[in-house]
Amino acid sequence: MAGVRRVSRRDVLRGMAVAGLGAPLARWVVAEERPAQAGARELEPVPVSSRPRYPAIRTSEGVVQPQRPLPVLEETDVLVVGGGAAGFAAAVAAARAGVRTTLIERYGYFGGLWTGGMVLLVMGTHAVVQGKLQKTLRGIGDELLARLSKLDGAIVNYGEDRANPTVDPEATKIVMDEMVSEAGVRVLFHSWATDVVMDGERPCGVVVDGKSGRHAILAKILVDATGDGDIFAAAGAEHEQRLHAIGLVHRLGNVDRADRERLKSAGFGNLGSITPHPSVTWVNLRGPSSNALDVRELTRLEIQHRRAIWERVQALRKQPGGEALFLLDIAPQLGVRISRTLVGMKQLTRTEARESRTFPDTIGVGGADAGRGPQWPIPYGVLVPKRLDGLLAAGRCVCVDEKLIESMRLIAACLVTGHAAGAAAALCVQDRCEPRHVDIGRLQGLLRQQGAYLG
Amino acid sequence: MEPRRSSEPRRAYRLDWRWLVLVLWVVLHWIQLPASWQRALDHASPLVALVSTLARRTISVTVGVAFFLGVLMMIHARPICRWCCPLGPMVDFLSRVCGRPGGPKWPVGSWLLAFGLGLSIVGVTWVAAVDLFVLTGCAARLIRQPTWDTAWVWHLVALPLVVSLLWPRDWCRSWCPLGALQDALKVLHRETTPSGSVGHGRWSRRHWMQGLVAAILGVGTGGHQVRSARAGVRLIRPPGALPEEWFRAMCWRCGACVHACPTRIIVPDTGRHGPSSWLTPRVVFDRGYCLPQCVRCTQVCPSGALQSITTTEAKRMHPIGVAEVAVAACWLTEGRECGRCVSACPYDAIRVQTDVFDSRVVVHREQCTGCGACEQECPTRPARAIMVRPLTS
Ligand SMILES: Cc1cc2nc3c(=O)[nH]c(=O)nc-3n(C[C@H](O)[C@H](O)[C@H](O)COP(=O)(O)OP(=O)(O)OC[C@H]3O[C@@H](n4cnc5c(N)ncnc54)[C@H](O)[C@@H]3O)c2cc1C
Ligand code: SF4
Repeated sequence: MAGVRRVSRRDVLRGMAVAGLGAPLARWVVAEERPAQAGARELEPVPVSSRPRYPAIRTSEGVVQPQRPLPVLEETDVLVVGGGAAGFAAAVAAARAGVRTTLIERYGYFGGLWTGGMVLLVMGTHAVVQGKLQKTLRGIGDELLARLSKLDGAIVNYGEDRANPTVDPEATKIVMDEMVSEAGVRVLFHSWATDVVMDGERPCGVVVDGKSGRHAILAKILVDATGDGDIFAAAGAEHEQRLHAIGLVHRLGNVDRADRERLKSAGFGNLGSITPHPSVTWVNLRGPSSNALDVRELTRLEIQHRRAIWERVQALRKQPGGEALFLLDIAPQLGVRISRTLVGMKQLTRTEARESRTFPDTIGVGGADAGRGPQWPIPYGVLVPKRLDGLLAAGRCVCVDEKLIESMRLIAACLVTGHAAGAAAALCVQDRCEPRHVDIGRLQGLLRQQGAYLG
Repeated sequence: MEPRRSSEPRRAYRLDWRWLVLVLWVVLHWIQLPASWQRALDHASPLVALVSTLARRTISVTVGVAFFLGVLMMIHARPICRWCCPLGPMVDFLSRVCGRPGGPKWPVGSWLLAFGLGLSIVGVTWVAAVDLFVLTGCAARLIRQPTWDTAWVWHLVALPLVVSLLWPRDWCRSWCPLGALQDALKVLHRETTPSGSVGHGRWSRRHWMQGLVAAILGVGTGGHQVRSARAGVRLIRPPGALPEEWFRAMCWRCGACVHACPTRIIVPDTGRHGPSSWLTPRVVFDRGYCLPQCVRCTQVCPSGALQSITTTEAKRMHPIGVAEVAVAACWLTEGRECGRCVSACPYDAIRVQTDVFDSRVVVHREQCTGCGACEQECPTRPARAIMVRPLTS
C-alpha cells in the first residue's frame, strides 16, 4: 500500500549517495535541503520526501531485516552519543580541544536525567580535603554551573564553599545549548543511536534512527555517554548489567503556600527538595528495582508512577494545609539509575575511593556525595573498555564496583568523567592512537588547561 | 643543691643494667612484636600471672616465666627489683637526685596487692593496670604512637616517679604492689632486712592482717562491680569482648587495643557509663568503622577481656552491635537520593525497601555485625539516621 511516488532528481542523487557513491555527495544533499524550508508558508505543500525502502520481512524463520546500505549523515572526529551531563561535558571538551565533534541525543534537549529526569540537585561537587570543604567539580561542569549563577533563578546553593547546588532544568538546558554551540559542536537531537558501525573489531560510527530515517554517522573515536552503555554493548565490549530502582520525578507548585507542619503531622512529610524557585520543589521517587533495558518494563513503570504521582498530589490537595499545592509537571524522562556498567581497563572500587587513593592516571576527582567525606581521584582506566578499541565510556556507566556505583552515578561525577572522556577522545584523534594508548601526561595537561581539577 | 641528709652512706652511682631492661622493654614494644609475644611480656610479671590465673581459674602457658620468677622470689630477696624491674633504675635515679627520706611509710603496696587478689578471686583483674610490667608496656606504646586517647597512662607512670621524687626509695619499699608480692613470698630465706635496703622485709602479722582486710574489701568491691555492671548500660565493645559485666571485670584498661586499632575507633571510656567502665575500651564510629578483615585488637588484648579471633569468618560470628535506623531522620523518608548505608555495608546486611513514595532502610540483623560502616557514611546531621546500638544480651 505504498503511496504514489514521484521520482525526482533529488531521489536519483540520494539513491546514488545511498548506493555508496560517497559521503560528500550525501552531505551535499542534506545541506541542500535546508534553505528550502526557511521562511516557508504554513501548510505549503512540498514534494513528498521519499527514501529507499528496506522494510523488514517476515519469513518462515521469523522477521528478518534485509541487507541495506546506509546513508552516511556525517563524518566526524569525535562522536559523542547521549547528551546527558556526561555527554555534554565530553562534547564541549573535545570540540574545545580542536577536533571535529558531533553530539547526538535521542530527545530534544541536553542534560538527560539532570534536566529531563528533573534530578535537579547536583551532588558530589565538593569534598573535605585536609579538614576544609573544597570544590572538586571544576572545568566544564563547573563552568556550566557558574554560568547558571549569572542568570536569574537558575541555580541555588552555588559557590566556592557551598556544596551541592540545585538548578532549574530549563535554564540548564539553555546554557548547555549555548556552551555546546559556542564550542562548535555539531548537534543532532531526536536521533536514537540504535547500533554501531564496525570496522572489523573496532567501532567506527553509529547507526542513528529518527524522523530522517536510518543513517550512519562515522567517527574516529566514539564516546558512549548514553548512561545505559547502549553503544559499548552494541560494539561487543564486555560489561555488567544490573537492576536498580527506577523512579519518576515530579515538581510541586505553590509549596510556599502549603502548611508543612500540618501536612507532616498528617503523614505527608516529604514535600520534596528545594529548587531555585521558592514556590517549587522537586519530589524524588525511588521506585522498584527493575530492568531499565526492557521497554515493556519502562512503559509499565511510566504509567504506574504517573498514576501514583497524580494520586499523591490529589491526596495532598485534600489535606488541610495542602489545598494550594498543584502538580507542576512530571519529568519527561523516567528515572533510570543504573543498567549497564562497563568492564574497563580499571575498576575503581569503593574502598579505593574511601581511602582517597591516588593514581598515576588520575583524570578527575569525585566529591563527597553529601559534601562531607574525602575526595576520590578517578583513574583514566575506568573510561576505557578492557579490550575494545575506538571507544570511551563516560557518565553513570563507567567501570566501578557495585559499591561505588551510587557515588559515580551522581551528576558531578558524570560531568567529571564526561569532561575527561571528551578530552581523551580529542587526543586520540590528534595523536592517531587508541584510547588505551593515550599519553596520560598530555591528557592531564589538556584537562588542567581546560580547568579540570586533578587533586 | 642542698646536701643530702640521708643517714645511708652515699653510694657512687653506677650504671645499672636495669636501664638495659627498660630500653629492651621499650624496643620490644617498639618493633611491634607478634601480638602473642607482647602478651607474654605482660604475663611475665608474677603479679599479673597470679591475678589472671586466680580470675580465670585456669593456668595458661604464658605464666611460665612468672612462675620461674615466683620461685626465685622465694629464695632471693626482691629478685625483680634487683634484676629486671624496667622502672627501677628510673625510680632509683630520681630517689638519688632529690627528695629527702621520711615518707608516710604506709605499706600501700601490700594493701593494693591484697585488694587486687581479693578482686581477682571474684574475677576482676583491672588491678593489673598498676603492675609495672604492664605500665611500662603502655608507656612504650604511647612513646611509639602518641595519642591523647590513652595519655592518661602517663599519670600512672608518673606516680612512682613522683613518689620517688618526694620520698626517696619509698616507692619500692612500700608502694609497689609487685614489691609487696616479692616480700610476701619471702618464705624460704631468713633475711629480715633486705640487702640494698629495698622492701619491708618479711611480712609481719600486722601486715598480714591488713592484707586480709584489704582482700576482703577487694572481694566485696569486685562482687559489687560485677553485679552492678550486669544491670548497667551496655556499651559497644571491640569484637570478641566478654559479656559486659565480665568485660568490665577482666579488662586491665591497658589500652593495647586502643593502640592496635588501625581505624582508631576504639577509645577509652570517660567514665560516663559508671565508674566500673572508666577507661575500658569502647567503640565510636567518628573516625572509621570496624574493618571486616581486621582482628588486631583481639590479638593484642593481654587480659582475655577480648577473646582472640583469628579469621574474618570467625569475626562475623562476633557482632559488636547492631545497626538501627531512625526512619524519621533518614534521607529516604524525605525523598532524597540516598542509600549510602547500603553501599557502605561490607556484609550486605542493609537493603532499601520501596513502596511507591515510601522507601525505607531495612537492616537484616542476622547479617549485621555492628561494624559501623553505615553509621560512618550516613549523611544526616546532627544525629545519624542509622546507628549501631549495643547488643542486648
Ligand atoms: C530518580 C533519580 C534521582 C537522582 N537523584 C540525584 C541527585 O539528587 N543528585 C545527583 O547528583 N544525582 C542524582 N541522580 C543520578 C544522576 O541524575 C544521573 O546518574 C546522572 O544525571 C547521569 O548522567 P549521564 O550523563 O551519565 O546519563 P543520562 O543523564 O542518563 O544521559 C544519557 C543521555 O543519553 C541519551 N541517550 C541514551 N541512550 C541514547 C541512545 N541510544 N541514543 C541517543 N541518545 C541516547 C539520553 O536521552 C540522555 O540524554 C538521580 C537519578 C535518578 C534516576
Ligand atoms: S545512609 Fe542514612 S540517610 Fe542514607 S539511606 Fe542510609 S540511613 Fe538513610
